[in-house]
Amino acid sequence: MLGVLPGIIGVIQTTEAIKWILGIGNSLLGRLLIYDALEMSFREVKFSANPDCPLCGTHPTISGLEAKPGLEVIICSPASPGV
Amino acid sequence: MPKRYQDLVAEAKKEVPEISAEEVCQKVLRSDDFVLLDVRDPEEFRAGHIQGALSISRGMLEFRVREALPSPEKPIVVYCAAGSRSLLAGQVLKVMGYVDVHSMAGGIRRWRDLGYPTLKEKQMNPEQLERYSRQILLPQVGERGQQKLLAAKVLLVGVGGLGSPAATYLAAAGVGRLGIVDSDQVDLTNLQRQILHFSNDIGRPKTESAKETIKALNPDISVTTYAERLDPSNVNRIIEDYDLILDGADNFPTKYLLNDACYFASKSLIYGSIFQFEGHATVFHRGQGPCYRCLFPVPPPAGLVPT
Repeated sequence: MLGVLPGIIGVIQTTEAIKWILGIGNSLLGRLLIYDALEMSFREVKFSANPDCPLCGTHPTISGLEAKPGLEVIICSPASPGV
Repeated sequence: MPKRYQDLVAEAKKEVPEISAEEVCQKVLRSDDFVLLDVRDPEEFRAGHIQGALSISRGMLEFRVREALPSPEKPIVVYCAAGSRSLLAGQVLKVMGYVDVHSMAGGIRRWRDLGYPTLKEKQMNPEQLERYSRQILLPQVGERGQQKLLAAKVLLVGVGGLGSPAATYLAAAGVGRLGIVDSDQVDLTNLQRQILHFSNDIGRPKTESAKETIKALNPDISVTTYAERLDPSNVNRIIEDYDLILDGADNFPTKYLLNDACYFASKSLIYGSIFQFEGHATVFHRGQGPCYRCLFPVPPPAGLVPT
């Protein structure tokens, strides 16, 4: 990957951190910012809390760090595209 | 005929209504519907001011007030040391279009005489004032914002591609306490993007070389290192000391673990990930929006590595 890509995202994260500390501006809460270096474009996907989320949903199945199924098992799951 | 200072104050008094310290005190306790503006010099403000007051010195008033107070209808109470500068400042504010301006009679001296409380700010030293001057100049930051940055504690999980620029800019901005978690050693292949580490750091723990670079950039910053891999047994202990967590992890297990741990501890998490030519960023905070698992319920297939 190009070294500048994490540079840009890391700096965006830092901007959010500094704004958070100062209590100014609008944060990225509920918005996924997507940067495409080849197209040189930013787009934004709004997303809300998922009521079926196993962690923060209405009937959570994850109640603590220890109780969580092994992450290494999850990571090998064939399911789901994503990032 | 040239006017004397007393004449100017007397004229201002005709234009700017005064309000008693007692009345201001009641208002301060009751309402957010007005702005309390301290027009004394920054040193005087730091030495003691009324809680919630905005600081714009008389000398900077015309330059800075519009940006700091964009709404001309919002009522303003101006105060100074003894009530004269605030009258003159009030006059200027009226000329600049602020409709509802009062000057606090007797200034903060009267306020103190009545036994009302003031807040003192920890003094920044002259070097700090100079180092951070370009951001202190922003009305949204100011000296008070800089104090917040200096008092803030941020944890960086990973000092690789994402954590390197993050640590650099946080340290440069004067974020006073940084924690860095990383169990890796610096490798030649890292140097193309992990800008905290240099060629002669190859083979050293990343936490060490990161700390050295941060300290060289800004000796003000205190750095705590955790040369360990986050897991369910250590994550709570590590995050509990910090106000804010920045996710610079390069693997999904750590990203999910961090999401869950920050959720349970109600810590704000600033998420970032990258793949090939695409990068993602967002912020999670319990109760204020979705979490990482809402966005990506299950990890992507192995092989899609985030950094």
